[in-house]
Amino acid sequence: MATVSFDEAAFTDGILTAMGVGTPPEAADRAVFVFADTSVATGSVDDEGIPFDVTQAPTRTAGVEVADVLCAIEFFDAVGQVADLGVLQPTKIKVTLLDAQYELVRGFDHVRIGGDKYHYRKTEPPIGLVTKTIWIVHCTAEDDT
Amino acid sequence: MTYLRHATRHLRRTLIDRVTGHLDDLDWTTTPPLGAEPLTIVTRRVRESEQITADANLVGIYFGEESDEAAAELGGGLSTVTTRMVCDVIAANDTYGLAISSDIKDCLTGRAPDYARVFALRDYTTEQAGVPRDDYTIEVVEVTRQRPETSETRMWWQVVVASIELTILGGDS
Repeated sequence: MATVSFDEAAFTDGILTAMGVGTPPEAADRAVFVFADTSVATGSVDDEGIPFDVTQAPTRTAGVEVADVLCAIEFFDAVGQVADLGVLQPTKIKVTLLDAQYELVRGFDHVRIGGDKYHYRKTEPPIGLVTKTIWIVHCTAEDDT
Repeated sequence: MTYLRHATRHLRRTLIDRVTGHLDDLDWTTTPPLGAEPLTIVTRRVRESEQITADANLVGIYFGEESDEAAAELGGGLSTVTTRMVCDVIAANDTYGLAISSDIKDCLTGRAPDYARVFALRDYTTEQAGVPRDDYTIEVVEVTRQRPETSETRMWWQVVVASIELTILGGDS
């Protein structure tokens, strides 16, 4: 019986190369994955860790930023109809990552691309591609600019 | 009357502490009755990127809109503000959902022992447990239990909605 050989390294390199082809050449234009800020305070604080005493301030640490992550980004424009309660159909992006790259950004709060901010919404259940796991993450624009 | 800045934050915390404290006292969060799994309580808006796993029973508490301040009596310096408290109960089965939401409702209506429908707002400025304020009074005006009709999820869902009125004594401080 013939066996089918699978070159995982070449396979992965091929996908990452394809993702790299779609990456903007200017570093400033590339996607930056940003984690949420954290804050620490003492005394009487609320559920967000913010003091009730207005004379006190928490110590805030800016969220970690992860840049140059190879991924595929698809853009879905929408008619951003603004209603009293906000934008009903915001613009969205879909980010596709291999497992190693996904681990670099897992838990991010938003993605900054070319000055626009896309908030994390959800991650699809992982799917397999031979020995690699594919993660697809959906984000929505904070505002349509 | 001493002005309490950000009274809404203190109002919400007072109500959250009241409900979560009652559920704690009834062991829902530790060794629940009826063989239920421990209850997870979420009392803040959670970012989508945060992962909160509720294996069995979950209560999420949030608040709705707030009204303008209205004079409660002519010349008396009393004014009121109304708001809405919502407790989502996502339970492992219908019985647990009904039991948890009933306990929340009894707490808010004052039906449960040691609870009342009218009580003092607590000032959390300096004390994590809060200090009762005589000049800010909370009244739970109406409490309803609703069951959203949904077939999208297997979890059993009940919603307890409370209309809250905050009365502030003395407009001139």
